[in-house]
Amino acid sequence: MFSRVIAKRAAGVRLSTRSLHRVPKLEQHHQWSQEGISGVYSPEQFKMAWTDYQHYLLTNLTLLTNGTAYENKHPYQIILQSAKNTTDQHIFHYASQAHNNHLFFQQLTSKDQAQETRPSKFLMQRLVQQDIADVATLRSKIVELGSSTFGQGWLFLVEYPDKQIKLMRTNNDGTPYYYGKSQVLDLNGGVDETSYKFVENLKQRAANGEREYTLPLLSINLWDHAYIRDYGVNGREKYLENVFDCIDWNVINKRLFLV
Amino acid sequence: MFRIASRANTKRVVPRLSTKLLNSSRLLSTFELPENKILETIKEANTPFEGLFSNKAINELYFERGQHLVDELNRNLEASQVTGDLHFRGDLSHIISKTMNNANLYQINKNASHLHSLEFFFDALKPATLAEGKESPIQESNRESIFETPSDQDIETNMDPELVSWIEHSFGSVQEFRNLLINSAMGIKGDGVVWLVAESSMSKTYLSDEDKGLYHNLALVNTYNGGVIDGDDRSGQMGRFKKYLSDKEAENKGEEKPQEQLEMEQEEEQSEEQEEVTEEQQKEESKDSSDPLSLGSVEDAEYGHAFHDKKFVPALAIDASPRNYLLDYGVYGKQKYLENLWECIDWSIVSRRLPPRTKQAISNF
Repeated sequence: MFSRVIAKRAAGVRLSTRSLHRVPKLEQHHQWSQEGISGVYSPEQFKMAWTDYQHYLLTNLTLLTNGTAYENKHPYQIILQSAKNTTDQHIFHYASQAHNNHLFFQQLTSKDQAQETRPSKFLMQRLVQQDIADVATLRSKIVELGSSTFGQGWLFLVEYPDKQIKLMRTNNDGTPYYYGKSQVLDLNGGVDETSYKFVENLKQRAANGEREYTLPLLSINLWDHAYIRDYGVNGREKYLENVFDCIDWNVINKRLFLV
Repeated sequence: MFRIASRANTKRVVPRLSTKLLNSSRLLSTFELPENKILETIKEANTPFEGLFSNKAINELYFERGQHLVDELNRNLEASQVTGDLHFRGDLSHIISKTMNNANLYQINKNASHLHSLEFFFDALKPATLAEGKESPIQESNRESIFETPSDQDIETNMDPELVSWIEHSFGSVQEFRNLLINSAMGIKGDGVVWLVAESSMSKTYLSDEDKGLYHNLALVNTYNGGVIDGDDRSGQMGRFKKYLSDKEAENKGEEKPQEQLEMEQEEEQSEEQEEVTEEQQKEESKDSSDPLSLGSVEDAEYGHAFHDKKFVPALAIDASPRNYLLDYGVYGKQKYLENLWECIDWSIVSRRLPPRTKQAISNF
């Protein structure tokens, strides 16, 4: 009886350990910080986009979540939980950015190695349904969508529960994991009927407590942090072309949900 | 508002005959990168913008980006005019307000409004004069700067006493104003601009076109992704759509439809609609007792708060977008960038842009 109480206490102590968010280790981190990622990044740009930015995001996340209910959670869990809380959006920002950026860097490799990998047949079959017949079309679609985006954001290739695979562009810190915070519309200009209905639909879905099962396969950073040093303020298009050529498709293929 | 804003503008609008549409003799507005004497001198002399930007950053932020926006704007304007149903002439402000609530003209609107705020931002800046032997404050911030306490001591400006008194009336003190300005800019995570505006005491409904309004109060307003201050043409769109669509549905209800199928659909729609209405009523009724941690809808925001029906005159734009600090100050350098920026604001231009101040005989509160 006594021992059980003690055991419980011990478990309680362990659970309440303070957790620090630290920059996850990339396999090639050492090499990339010395030489950059050949084909897309110089060492300086790599430092800005990953080493510094990820540290900045995670340090801020630690500072904001310490002593709160989010303290023991991973960024992914924090995204899901904070996405629905109006007053936690500053926390959501850091969690979502950190998670997206990690997804992004996990899938990069040097151009030589990347060119040896291909999207799986399974993936391409799905994309054909979206009128993306080959890798070149996917590339040009991504480059076009990314470079026509005003402001900061992310580009995702997401898999829906019905197995459709689509491109999703989110504004600012939007996440693919929850429709209410995917921020795919920029309502800062003219609003057309489609956008209006989209927003109304979102409201309805949220009111019904609908859940989201969308999963990202590919994530591309459109924030200035990801390219400004190497490519300049107008360099997003060139950057997107290069970054697409450095995607390790073996990583993407594994992210597909296979039963 | 834009008339006042454009007084400080140095933009050149060059109407020219379109080569493509020569026969129809229509005039096209083509834009050029606005002239900025200070920045051009800096570019030619290959010197930094003392106290704020390196030469490279000025080149990127103003000349490269500005030219890109101008080119895109001209290209999109031309494309829209070739299709024949749109005529855009005149100055930038006119084009922005014309395109603001038309989703098809998104590209024109975005390029024009970005260009406008770029110009408005840089026009009110002047290089700082550094004390001799003092190190240039343009330096990349390091990791430790996350934990630094921002300093707000020894704030000196060359504001004229009129402006100081107005700022003290609206914000408490120049120091509080500075901190609010910097913190508002820190709050913007993506692209965005903090504007210092003079707020009209009367809503637009009561102001005629010629009426310039009375201005008691200064305020700070954040806009995102190339939003502009005079968002009145834009705001209310969600509300208008709601009304338009419900009117259309009401019309449909009145009409007699011959096919049974349609009627069935209609009934379904109606019942759905009724559900929505009751839900909304419930929501509205419970608004006061509702969760104080949740916000209302977009329409609530449009009508109840912020921009709707308010007349604002912008006097200063502070660009808080990442590109502005990443080049010189690095990932950790936003706070430093904003503190340096404060030192480089040309307050005489801010004063000139503001409308005459009206002092209230009776305090509101």
